[in-house]
Amino acid sequence: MEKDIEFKQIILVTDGESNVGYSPVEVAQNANQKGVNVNTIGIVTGNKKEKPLAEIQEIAIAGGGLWELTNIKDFAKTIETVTKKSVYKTIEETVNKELKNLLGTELNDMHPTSRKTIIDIIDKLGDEIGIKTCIVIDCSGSMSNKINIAKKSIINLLRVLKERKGKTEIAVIGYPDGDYNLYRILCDFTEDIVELEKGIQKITTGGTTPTGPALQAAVDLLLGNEEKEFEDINTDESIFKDNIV
Amino acid sequence: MLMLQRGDIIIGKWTNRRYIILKKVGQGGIGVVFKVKDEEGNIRAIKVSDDISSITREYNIMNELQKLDCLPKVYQIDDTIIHNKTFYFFVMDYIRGENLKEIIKYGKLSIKDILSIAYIVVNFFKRVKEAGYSYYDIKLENIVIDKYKKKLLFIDFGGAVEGNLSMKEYTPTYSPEAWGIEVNKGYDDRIIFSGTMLIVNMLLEKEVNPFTCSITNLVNDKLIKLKLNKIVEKFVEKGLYIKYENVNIYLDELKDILIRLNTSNLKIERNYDIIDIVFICSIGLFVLTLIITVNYFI
Repeated sequence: MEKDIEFKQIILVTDGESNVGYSPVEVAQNANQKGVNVNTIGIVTGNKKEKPLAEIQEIAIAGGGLWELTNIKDFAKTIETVTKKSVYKTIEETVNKELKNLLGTELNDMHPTSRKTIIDIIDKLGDEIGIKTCIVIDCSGSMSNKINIAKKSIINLLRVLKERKGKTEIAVIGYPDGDYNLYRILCDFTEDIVELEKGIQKITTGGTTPTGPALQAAVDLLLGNEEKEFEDINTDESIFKDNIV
Repeated sequence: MLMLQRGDIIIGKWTNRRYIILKKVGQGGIGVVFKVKDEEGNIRAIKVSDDISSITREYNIMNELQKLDCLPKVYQIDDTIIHNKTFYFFVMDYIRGENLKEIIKYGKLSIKDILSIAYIVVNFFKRVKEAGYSYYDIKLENIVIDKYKKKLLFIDFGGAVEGNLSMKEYTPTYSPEAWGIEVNKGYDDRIIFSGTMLIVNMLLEKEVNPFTCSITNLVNDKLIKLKLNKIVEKFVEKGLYIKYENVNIYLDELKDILIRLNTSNLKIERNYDIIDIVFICSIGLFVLTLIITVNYFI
Protein backbone atom coordinates (compact mmCIF):
# COMPACT_ATOMS: atom_id res chain seq x y z
CA MET A 1 0.00 0.00 0.00
CA GLU A 2 1.46 3.36 -1.00
CA LYS A 3 0.88 6.47 1.04
CA ASP A 4 -0.54 8.38 -1.92
CA ILE A 5 -3.45 5.94 -2.11
CA GLU A 6 -6.60 7.57 -0.76
CA PHE A 7 -8.80 5.97 1.82
CA LYS A 8 -12.44 6.70 1.01
CA GLN A 9 -15.03 6.48 3.73
CA ILE A 10 -18.54 7.61 4.61
CA ILE A 11 -19.64 8.35 8.17
CA LEU A 12 -23.41 8.27 8.43
CA VAL A 13 -24.77 10.11 11.49
CA THR A 14 -28.42 9.57 12.39
CA ASP A 15 -30.80 9.28 15.32
CA GLY A 16 -33.50 7.27 13.55
CA GLU A 17 -34.37 4.91 10.73
CA SER A 18 -34.75 5.86 7.09
CA ASN A 19 -38.29 6.41 5.95
CA VAL A 20 -38.01 7.82 2.44
CA GLY A 21 -36.44 6.51 -0.75
CA TYR A 22 -34.52 3.30 -1.47
CA SER A 23 -32.69 1.07 0.98
CA PRO A 24 -29.51 2.51 2.51
CA VAL A 25 -28.28 -1.06 3.14
CA GLU A 26 -28.16 -1.75 -0.60
CA VAL A 27 -26.40 1.55 -1.25
CA ALA A 28 -23.80 0.68 1.43
CA GLN A 29 -23.19 -2.77 -0.04
CA ASN A 30 -22.73 -1.29 -3.48
CA ALA A 31 -20.36 1.38 -2.14
CA ASN A 32 -18.24 -1.21 -0.34
CA GLN A 33 -17.81 -3.18 -3.56
CA LYS A 34 -16.39 -0.03 -5.12
CA GLY A 35 -13.86 0.47 -2.33
CA VAL A 36 -15.81 2.91 -0.18
CA ASN A 37 -16.03 2.12 3.52
CA VAL A 38 -19.42 2.92 5.08
CA ASN A 39 -19.47 3.53 8.86
CA THR A 40 -22.44 4.56 10.97
CA ILE A 41 -22.99 6.42 14.23
CA GLY A 42 -26.35 6.29 15.99
CA ILE A 43 -27.12 9.17 18.33
CA VAL A 44 -29.11 8.04 21.33
CA THR A 45 -30.38 9.83 24.39
CA GLY A 46 -30.33 8.52 27.94
CA ASN A 47 -28.71 5.20 28.57
CA LYS A 48 -28.80 3.62 25.11
CA LYS A 49 -31.83 1.47 25.99
CA GLU A 50 -34.14 3.15 23.52
CA LYS A 51 -34.85 2.05 19.96
CA PRO A 52 -31.95 -0.19 18.98
CA LEU A 53 -31.27 1.59 15.70
CA ALA A 54 -30.87 -1.84 14.07
CA GLU A 55 -30.63 -0.24 10.66
CA ILE A 56 -27.34 1.52 11.37
CA GLN A 57 -25.76 -1.83 12.22
CA GLU A 58 -27.03 -3.37 8.98
CA ILE A 59 -25.74 -0.43 6.95
CA ALA A 60 -22.27 -0.64 8.53
CA ILE A 61 -22.03 -4.40 8.06
CA ALA A 62 -23.09 -4.12 4.41
CA GLY A 63 -20.69 -1.21 3.94
CA GLY A 64 -17.70 -3.04 5.45
CA GLY A 65 -17.42 -0.44 8.19
CA LEU A 66 -17.91 0.07 11.90
CA TRP A 67 -20.95 1.18 13.83
CA GLU A 68 -21.25 2.87 17.20
CA LEU A 69 -23.96 4.31 19.45
CA THR A 70 -23.29 7.48 21.41
CA ASN A 71 -24.85 10.28 23.40
CA ILE A 72 -24.61 13.63 21.65
CA LYS A 73 -22.19 14.97 24.30
CA ASP A 74 -19.68 12.22 23.45
CA PHE A 75 -20.26 12.51 19.71
CA ALA A 76 -16.98 14.37 19.01
CA LYS A 77 -14.90 11.58 20.51
CA THR A 78 -17.00 8.87 18.81
CA ILE A 79 -16.78 10.33 15.30
CA GLU A 80 -13.03 10.71 15.73
CA THR A 81 -12.59 7.15 16.98
CA VAL A 82 -14.80 5.63 14.26
CA THR A 83 -13.00 7.58 11.52
CA LYS A 84 -9.55 6.54 12.71
CA LYS A 85 -10.50 2.95 13.59
CA SER A 86 -11.99 2.29 10.16
CA VAL A 87 -8.79 3.56 8.51
CA TYR A 88 -6.57 1.37 10.70
CA LYS A 89 -8.88 -1.64 10.37
CA THR A 90 -8.66 -1.48 6.57
CA ILE A 91 -4.88 -1.03 6.61
CA GLU A 92 -4.55 -3.95 9.01
CA GLU A 93 -6.64 -6.17 6.73
CA THR A 94 -4.53 -5.16 3.74
CA VAL A 95 -1.23 -5.73 5.55
CA ASN A 96 -2.50 -9.11 6.78
CA LYS A 97 -3.37 -10.12 3.22
CA GLU A 98 0.10 -9.11 2.04
CA LEU A 99 1.72 -11.06 4.90
CA LYS A 100 -0.24 -14.15 3.93
CA ASN A 101 0.79 -13.79 0.29
CA LEU A 102 4.47 -13.20 1.07
CA LEU A 103 5.10 -15.36 4.12
CA GLY A 104 2.05 -17.59 4.34
CA THR A 105 1.40 -16.25 7.83
CA GLU A 106 -0.87 -13.66 9.47
CA LEU A 107 -0.36 -11.22 12.33
CA ASN A 108 -2.39 -13.61 14.45
CA ASP A 109 0.03 -16.50 13.87
CA MET A 110 3.03 -14.48 15.00
CA HIS A 111 4.15 -14.50 18.63
CA PRO A 112 2.78 -11.37 20.43
CA THR A 113 6.30 -10.07 21.15
CA SER A 114 7.28 -10.20 17.44
CA ARG A 115 4.25 -8.30 16.17
CA LYS A 116 5.68 -4.88 16.89
CA THR A 117 7.49 -4.45 13.54
CA ILE A 118 4.29 -5.07 11.59
CA ILE A 119 2.20 -2.86 13.89
CA ASP A 120 4.76 -0.06 13.39
CA ILE A 121 4.23 -0.31 9.62
CA ILE A 122 0.44 -0.15 10.09
CA ASP A 123 0.82 2.93 12.34
CA LYS A 124 3.08 4.69 9.87
CA LEU A 125 0.71 4.01 6.97
CA GLY A 126 -2.27 5.15 9.05
CA ASP A 127 -0.55 8.45 9.72
CA GLU A 128 0.55 9.06 6.15
CA ILE A 129 -2.35 7.80 4.03
CA GLY A 130 -4.70 10.37 2.46
CA ILE A 131 -8.20 10.26 3.96
CA LYS A 132 -11.35 11.39 2.18
CA THR A 133 -14.29 11.35 4.57
CA CYS A 134 -17.83 12.21 3.55
CA ILE A 135 -20.05 12.86 6.56
CA VAL A 136 -23.72 12.25 5.88
CA ILE A 137 -25.72 13.87 8.64
CA ASP A 138 -29.37 13.41 9.50
CA CYS A 139 -30.96 16.86 9.79
CA SER A 140 -34.52 15.64 10.29
CA GLY A 141 -36.75 17.23 12.95
CA SER A 142 -35.58 14.96 15.78
CA MET A 143 -31.97 16.16 15.41
CA SER A 144 -32.80 19.83 16.04
CA ASN A 145 -31.62 19.93 19.68
CA LYS A 146 -28.43 17.99 18.89
CA ILE A 147 -27.31 19.75 15.74
CA ASN A 148 -25.18 22.47 17.36
CA ILE A 149 -22.92 20.01 19.15
CA ALA A 150 -22.81 17.89 15.97
CA LYS A 151 -21.64 20.91 13.92
CA LYS A 152 -18.82 21.72 16.37
CA SER A 153 -17.82 18.06 16.53
CA ILE A 154 -17.42 17.82 12.73
CA ILE A 155 -15.17 20.89 12.69
CA ASN A 156 -13.16 19.36 15.54
CA LEU A 157 -12.77 16.16 13.50
CA LEU A 158 -11.03 18.03 10.68
CA ARG A 159 -8.79 19.86 13.17
CA VAL A 160 -7.76 16.60 14.83
CA LEU A 161 -7.22 14.68 11.59
CA LYS A 162 -5.08 17.51 10.23
CA GLU A 163 -2.48 16.63 12.88
CA ARG A 164 -1.65 13.58 10.75
CA LYS A 165 1.07 13.73 8.13
CA GLY A 166 -1.30 12.56 5.36
CA LYS A 167 -3.84 14.74 3.58
CA THR A 168 -7.34 14.90 5.08
CA GLU A 169 -10.39 16.06 3.19
CA ILE A 170 -13.90 16.24 4.57
CA ALA A 171 -17.23 16.75 2.77
CA VAL A 172 -20.63 17.11 4.44
CA ILE A 173 -24.04 16.12 3.11
CA GLY A 174 -27.15 17.00 5.12
CA TYR A 175 -30.50 15.28 4.68
CA PRO A 176 -33.26 16.21 4.06
CA ASP A 177 -32.91 19.73 2.69
CA GLY A 178 -36.01 21.71 3.58
CA ASP A 179 -39.37 20.31 2.57
CA TYR A 180 -38.66 19.36 -1.01
CA ASN A 181 -35.11 18.09 -1.46
CA LEU A 182 -33.90 14.76 -0.17
CA TYR A 183 -30.37 15.97 0.59
CA ARG A 184 -27.98 18.86 0.14
CA ILE A 185 -24.23 18.89 -0.36
CA LEU A 186 -23.33 21.42 2.33
CA CYS A 187 -19.62 21.32 1.67
CA ASP A 188 -17.63 19.54 -1.04
CA PHE A 189 -14.29 17.91 -0.13
CA THR A 190 -12.03 20.40 1.57
CA GLU A 191 -8.94 20.58 3.78
CA ASP A 192 -9.82 24.09 4.85
CA ILE A 193 -11.46 24.56 8.26
CA VAL A 194 -12.98 27.94 7.37
CA GLU A 195 -14.62 26.48 4.27
CA LEU A 196 -15.97 23.56 6.28
CA GLU A 197 -17.34 25.93 8.94
CA LYS A 198 -19.06 27.98 6.24
CA GLY A 199 -20.68 24.86 4.75
CA ILE A 200 -21.82 23.53 8.09
CA GLN A 201 -23.51 26.80 9.02
CA LYS A 202 -26.00 26.07 6.23
CA ILE A 203 -27.43 23.13 8.17
CA THR A 204 -31.09 23.50 9.10
CA THR A 205 -33.23 20.83 10.68
CA GLY A 206 -36.72 19.55 9.94
CA GLY A 207 -38.45 16.96 7.76
CA THR A 208 -38.14 13.23 7.12
CA THR A 209 -35.23 10.76 6.99
CA PRO A 210 -34.26 9.85 3.39
CA THR A 211 -31.06 7.98 4.36
CA GLY A 212 -30.70 5.90 1.14
CA PRO A 213 -30.67 8.77 -1.35
CA ALA A 214 -28.33 10.85 0.87
CA LEU A 215 -25.93 7.93 1.19
CA GLN A 216 -25.94 7.47 -2.58
CA ALA A 217 -25.10 11.15 -3.03
CA ALA A 218 -22.08 10.62 -0.75
CA VAL A 219 -20.91 7.64 -2.81
CA ASP A 220 -21.23 9.72 -5.99
CA LEU A 221 -19.29 12.57 -4.42
CA LEU A 222 -16.51 10.23 -3.27
CA LEU A 223 -16.24 8.48 -6.61
CA GLY A 224 -16.36 11.74 -8.55
CA ASN A 225 -19.94 11.22 -9.81
CA GLU A 226 -18.65 8.75 -12.37
CA GLU A 227 -20.50 5.69 -11.32
CA LYS A 228 -23.97 6.87 -10.50
CA GLU A 229 -26.20 3.83 -10.55
CA PHE A 230 -29.39 5.01 -9.06
CA GLU A 231 -31.71 7.37 -10.80
CA ASP A 232 -31.42 10.90 -9.47
CA ILE A 233 -34.57 11.36 -7.46
CA ASN A 234 -33.43 14.39 -5.57
CA THR A 235 -36.42 16.51 -6.43
CA ASP A 236 -38.97 13.76 -7.03
CA GLU A 237 -41.80 14.79 -4.78
CA SER A 238 -44.03 11.78 -5.48
CA ILE A 239 -41.59 9.33 -3.90
CA PHE A 240 -41.10 11.70 -1.04
CA LYS A 241 -44.81 11.75 -0.23
CA ASP A 242 -45.61 8.08 -0.85
CA ASN A 243 -42.93 6.66 1.35
CA ILE A 244 -43.37 8.57 4.53
CA VAL A 245 -43.79 6.04 7.31
CA MET B 1 -19.09 -6.69 23.50
CA LEU B 2 -16.85 -8.83 25.68
CA MET B 3 -18.84 -10.60 28.40
CA LEU B 4 -16.80 -12.22 31.14
CA GLN B 5 -18.01 -13.00 34.63
CA ARG B 6 -16.49 -13.75 38.00
CA GLY B 7 -15.06 -17.26 37.91
CA ASP B 8 -14.49 -17.39 34.15
CA ILE B 9 -11.01 -18.53 33.21
CA ILE B 10 -8.78 -17.02 30.54
CA ILE B 11 -6.05 -19.27 29.17
CA GLY B 12 -3.11 -17.74 27.30
CA LYS B 13 -2.56 -19.32 23.88
CA TRP B 14 1.23 -18.83 23.92
CA THR B 15 2.12 -19.17 27.60
CA ASN B 16 -0.68 -21.51 28.67
CA ARG B 17 -1.05 -19.43 31.81
CA ARG B 18 -4.50 -19.30 33.44
CA TYR B 19 -6.19 -16.25 34.93
CA ILE B 20 -9.41 -16.37 36.97
CA ILE B 21 -11.67 -13.36 36.44
CA LEU B 22 -12.58 -11.65 39.72
CA LYS B 23 -14.40 -8.57 38.43
CA LYS B 24 -14.56 -5.99 35.67
CA VAL B 25 -12.76 -2.83 36.75
CA GLY B 26 -12.97 -0.55 33.77
CA GLN B 27 -13.60 0.07 30.13
CA GLY B 28 -11.10 2.02 28.04
CA GLY B 29 -11.30 3.20 24.46
CA ILE B 30 -9.79 -0.01 23.17
CA GLY B 31 -10.56 -2.69 25.70
CA VAL B 32 -11.96 -3.95 28.97
CA VAL B 33 -9.91 -4.24 32.16
CA PHE B 34 -10.52 -7.09 34.62
CA LYS B 35 -9.16 -7.83 38.06
CA VAL B 36 -7.81 -11.41 37.95
CA LYS B 37 -5.93 -13.97 40.01
CA ASP B 38 -3.02 -15.71 38.28
CA GLU B 39 -1.71 -19.27 38.83
CA GLU B 40 0.57 -18.21 41.67
CA GLY B 41 -2.30 -16.50 43.45
CA ASN B 42 -1.16 -12.96 42.56
CA ILE B 43 -3.87 -10.38 42.04
CA ARG B 44 -3.33 -8.70 38.68
CA ALA B 45 -5.23 -6.66 36.09
CA ILE B 46 -5.61 -7.72 32.46
CA LYS B 47 -6.65 -5.57 29.54
CA VAL B 48 -8.55 -7.54 26.90
CA SER B 49 -9.53 -6.39 23.39
CA ASP B 50 -10.25 -7.79 19.94
CA ASP B 51 -8.00 -5.10 18.48
CA ILE B 52 -4.59 -6.72 17.96
CA SER B 53 -2.76 -3.50 17.00
CA SER B 54 -3.99 -1.50 19.98
CA ILE B 55 -3.14 -4.17 22.56
CA THR B 56 0.31 -4.77 21.04
CA ARG B 57 1.03 -1.04 20.84
CA GLU B 58 -0.14 -0.25 24.38
CA TYR B 59 1.80 -3.19 25.87
CA ASN B 60 5.00 -2.19 24.07
CA ILE B 61 4.72 1.46 25.08
CA MET B 62 3.98 0.63 28.73
CA ASN B 63 6.91 -1.76 28.70
CA GLU B 64 9.23 0.92 27.29
CA LEU B 65 8.04 3.54 29.80
CA GLN B 66 8.54 1.35 32.91
CA LYS B 67 11.64 3.35 33.82
CA LEU B 68 9.50 6.45 34.39
CA ASP B 69 8.05 4.69 37.43
CA CYS B 70 4.60 6.28 37.10
CA LEU B 71 2.64 3.40 35.62
CA PRO B 72 1.64 -0.16 36.51
CA LYS B 73 4.26 -2.85 35.93
CA VAL B 74 3.41 -4.97 32.87
CA TYR B 75 3.96 -8.74 32.66
CA GLN B 76 2.92 -11.11 29.85
CA ILE B 77 1.20 -10.34 26.54
CA ASP B 78 -0.86 -13.18 25.09
CA ASP B 79 -3.87 -14.24 23.00
CA THR B 80 -6.93 -16.15 24.11
CA ILE B 81 -10.11 -17.56 22.63
CA ILE B 82 -13.41 -16.51 24.18
CA HIS B 83 -16.64 -17.90 22.69
CA ASN B 84 -14.77 -18.97 19.52
CA LYS B 85 -13.33 -15.52 18.94
CA THR B 86 -9.67 -14.53 19.35
CA PHE B 87 -8.94 -11.77 21.86
CA TYR B 88 -5.63 -10.17 22.77
CA PHE B 89 -4.57 -9.23 26.28
CA PHE B 90 -1.74 -8.19 28.51
CA VAL B 91 -1.21 -8.57 32.23
CA MET B 92 -0.29 -5.70 34.56
CA ASP B 93 -0.29 -4.76 38.24
CA TYR B 94 -3.69 -4.28 39.84
CA ILE B 95 -3.71 -0.87 41.49
CA ARG B 96 -5.50 -0.51 44.81
CA GLY B 97 -6.62 3.06 44.97
CA GLU B 98 -9.01 5.65 43.69
CA ASN B 99 -8.94 7.60 40.48
CA LEU B 100 -9.18 11.39 40.40
CA LYS B 101 -12.77 11.31 39.18
CA GLU B 102 -13.79 9.43 42.34
CA ILE B 103 -11.60 11.60 44.55
CA ILE B 104 -12.99 14.97 43.37
CA LYS B 105 -16.52 13.73 44.04
CA TYR B 106 -15.79 13.89 47.77
CA GLY B 107 -14.29 17.37 47.38
CA LYS B 108 -11.21 16.19 49.27
CA LEU B 109 -8.61 18.07 47.26
CA SER B 110 -7.12 21.36 48.41
CA ILE B 111 -5.78 23.97 45.97
CA LYS B 112 -2.28 22.81 46.89
CA ASP B 113 -3.19 19.16 46.12
CA ILE B 114 -4.69 20.17 42.77
CA LEU B 115 -1.65 22.19 41.70
CA SER B 116 0.73 19.45 42.87
CA ILE B 117 -1.15 16.86 40.82
CA ALA B 118 -0.99 19.13 37.75
CA TYR B 119 2.77 19.50 38.28
CA ILE B 120 3.30 15.72 38.44
CA VAL B 121 1.09 15.14 35.37
CA VAL B 122 2.72 17.77 33.13
CA ASN B 123 6.19 16.71 34.25
CA PHE B 124 5.30 13.10 33.43
CA PHE B 125 4.15 14.05 29.91
CA LYS B 126 7.42 15.91 29.45
CA ARG B 127 9.41 12.83 30.46
CA VAL B 128 7.31 10.64 28.13
CA LYS B 129 8.32 12.89 25.24
CA GLU B 130 11.98 12.71 26.29
CA ALA B 131 11.64 8.91 26.20
CA GLY B 132 10.53 9.14 22.54
CA TYR B 133 6.73 8.88 22.82
CA SER B 134 3.70 11.15 22.62
CA TYR B 135 1.05 10.94 25.32
CA TYR B 136 -1.12 13.80 26.45
CA ASP B 137 -4.60 12.36 26.43
CA ILE B 138 -5.69 12.51 30.03
CA LYS B 139 -8.91 11.74 31.75
CA LEU B 140 -9.52 12.08 35.47
CA GLU B 141 -10.37 8.39 35.65
CA ASN B 142 -7.03 7.37 34.11
CA ILE B 143 -5.00 8.95 36.91
CA VAL B 144 -5.03 6.82 40.04
CA ILE B 145 -3.65 7.44 43.49
CA ASP B 146 -2.13 4.18 44.72
CA LYS B 147 -3.25 3.91 48.34
CA TYR B 148 -0.34 1.73 49.45
CA LYS B 149 2.55 3.26 47.58
CA LYS B 150 1.14 6.80 48.01
CA LYS B 151 1.88 7.52 44.41
CA LEU B 152 0.19 8.98 41.35
CA LEU B 153 -0.07 6.42 38.54
CA PHE B 154 -1.19 6.63 34.91
CA ILE B 155 -3.16 3.57 33.90
CA ASP B 156 -4.29 3.91 30.27
CA PHE B 157 -1.84 4.28 27.39
CA GLY B 158 -4.32 3.40 24.63
CA GLY B 159 -3.81 6.78 23.00
CA ALA B 160 -0.02 6.89 23.27
CA VAL B 161 2.12 6.71 20.13
CA GLU B 162 5.75 6.41 19.20
CA GLY B 163 7.70 9.49 18.09
CA ASN B 164 5.81 12.14 16.21
CA LEU B 165 2.85 10.10 15.00
CA SER B 166 -0.55 11.65 15.67
CA MET B 167 -2.43 10.50 18.77
CA LYS B 168 -4.78 7.54 18.47
CA GLU B 169 -7.28 8.64 21.08
CA TYR B 170 -8.02 12.12 22.21
CA THR B 171 -10.44 13.34 24.86
CA PRO B 172 -11.90 16.62 23.51
CA THR B 173 -11.95 18.23 26.99
CA TYR B 174 -8.13 18.20 27.07
CA SER B 175 -7.60 19.02 23.40
CA PRO B 176 -6.87 22.70 22.59
CA GLU B 177 -8.27 22.21 19.06
CA ALA B 178 -11.68 21.22 20.41
CA TRP B 179 -11.80 24.54 22.30
CA GLY B 180 -10.62 26.48 19.24
CA ILE B 181 -7.24 27.31 20.82
CA GLU B 182 -4.39 27.49 18.33
CA VAL B 183 -1.41 25.18 18.79
CA ASN B 184 1.85 26.65 17.53
CA LYS B 185 4.55 24.76 19.34
CA GLY B 186 3.17 21.21 19.13
CA TYR B 187 3.74 18.90 22.09
CA ASP B 188 4.68 21.55 24.69
CA ASP B 189 1.53 23.55 23.90
CA ARG B 190 -0.64 20.47 24.24
CA ILE B 191 0.70 19.35 27.58
CA ILE B 192 0.48 22.90 28.99
CA PHE B 193 -3.17 23.02 27.91
CA SER B 194 -3.97 19.50 29.16
CA GLY B 195 -2.40 20.17 32.55
CA THR B 196 -4.22 23.47 33.01
CA MET B 197 -7.53 21.93 31.96
CA LEU B 198 -6.93 19.24 34.58
CA ILE B 199 -6.62 21.99 37.22
CA VAL B 200 -9.89 23.58 36.01
CA ASN B 201 -11.75 20.25 36.10
CA MET B 202 -10.53 19.44 39.59
CA LEU B 203 -11.58 22.91 40.78
CA LEU B 204 -15.02 22.60 39.20
CA GLU B 205 -15.27 18.95 40.29
CA LYS B 206 -16.37 17.81 36.83
CA GLU B 207 -14.99 17.43 33.31
CA VAL B 208 -16.12 20.39 31.20
CA ASN B 209 -17.31 19.90 27.62
CA PRO B 210 -15.80 22.10 24.86
CA PHE B 211 -18.94 21.78 22.75
CA THR B 212 -21.24 23.32 25.35
CA CYS B 213 -18.81 25.71 27.05
CA SER B 214 -16.01 28.10 26.00
CA ILE B 215 -12.57 29.10 27.32
CA THR B 216 -13.91 32.61 28.03
CA ASN B 217 -16.64 31.03 30.18
CA LEU B 218 -13.98 29.13 32.13
CA VAL B 219 -11.67 32.10 32.57
CA ASN B 220 -14.58 34.14 33.95
CA ASP B 221 -16.05 31.31 36.00
CA LYS B 222 -17.16 32.67 39.37
CA LEU B 223 -16.43 29.45 41.24
CA ILE B 224 -12.86 29.30 39.91
CA LYS B 225 -12.30 32.96 40.76
CA LEU B 226 -13.65 32.38 44.23
CA LYS B 227 -11.34 29.45 44.89
CA LEU B 228 -8.13 31.01 43.58
CA ASN B 229 -6.00 34.00 44.44
CA LYS B 230 -4.91 36.46 41.74
CA ILE B 231 -1.56 34.74 41.04
CA VAL B 232 -3.03 31.27 40.51
CA GLU B 233 -5.95 32.73 38.56
CA LYS B 234 -3.52 34.43 36.18
CA PHE B 235 -1.52 31.22 35.87
CA VAL B 236 -4.66 29.23 34.91
CA GLU B 237 -5.71 31.87 32.38
CA LYS B 238 -2.27 31.93 30.74
CA GLY B 239 -2.25 28.12 30.63
CA LEU B 240 -5.68 27.89 28.98
CA TYR B 241 -4.65 30.37 26.28
CA ILE B 242 -1.21 28.64 26.06
CA LYS B 243 0.76 31.83 26.71
CA TYR B 244 3.92 30.04 27.81
CA GLU B 245 7.06 29.83 25.67
CA ASN B 246 7.70 26.23 26.65
CA VAL B 247 6.79 23.62 29.22
CA ASN B 248 9.84 24.32 31.41
CA ILE B 249 8.75 27.92 32.00
CA TYR B 250 5.25 26.66 32.81
CA LEU B 251 6.56 24.10 35.29
CA ASP B 252 8.93 26.63 36.91
CA GLU B 253 6.05 29.04 37.49
CA LEU B 254 3.89 26.25 38.90
CA LYS B 255 6.75 25.21 41.21
CA ASP B 256 7.11 28.82 42.42
CA ILE B 257 3.41 28.98 43.25
CA LEU B 258 3.64 25.69 45.16
CA ILE B 259 6.65 26.92 47.17
CA ARG B 260 4.79 30.12 48.05
CA LEU B 261 1.77 28.08 49.14
CA ASN B 262 3.97 25.95 51.37
CA THR B 263 5.60 28.91 53.05
CA SER B 264 2.33 30.78 53.57
CA ASN B 265 1.16 28.08 55.97
CA LEU B 266 -0.66 26.07 53.27
CA LYS B 267 -3.53 28.52 53.26
CA ILE B 268 -4.19 30.36 50.07
CA GLU B 269 -5.26 33.97 50.29
CA ARG B 270 -8.77 34.36 49.04
CA ASN B 271 -9.34 36.70 46.24
CA TYR B 272 -12.09 39.05 47.38
CA ASP B 273 -13.79 40.62 44.45
CA ILE B 274 -17.08 42.33 43.76
CA ILE B 275 -19.11 39.09 44.09
CA ASP B 276 -17.78 38.48 47.60
CA ILE B 277 -18.49 42.04 48.61
CA VAL B 278 -22.04 41.88 47.24
CA PHE B 279 -22.52 38.53 48.99
CA ILE B 280 -21.24 39.76 52.36
CA CYS B 281 -23.28 43.01 52.08
CA SER B 282 -26.49 41.11 51.30
CA ILE B 283 -25.99 38.83 54.33
CA GLY B 284 -25.42 41.93 56.48
CA LEU B 285 -28.54 43.56 55.10
CA PHE B 286 -30.56 40.41 55.74
CA VAL B 287 -29.39 40.20 59.37
CA LEU B 288 -30.13 43.90 59.89
CA THR B 289 -33.67 43.52 58.50
CA LEU B 290 -34.17 40.50 60.76
CA ILE B 291 -33.08 42.43 63.85
CA ILE B 292 -35.36 45.37 62.97
CA THR B 293 -38.34 43.06 62.35
CA VAL B 294 -37.78 41.14 65.60
CA ASN B 295 -37.43 44.44 67.53
CA TYR B 296 -40.62 45.74 65.94
CA PHE B 297 -42.66 42.74 67.07
CA ILE B 298 -41.15 42.74 70.58
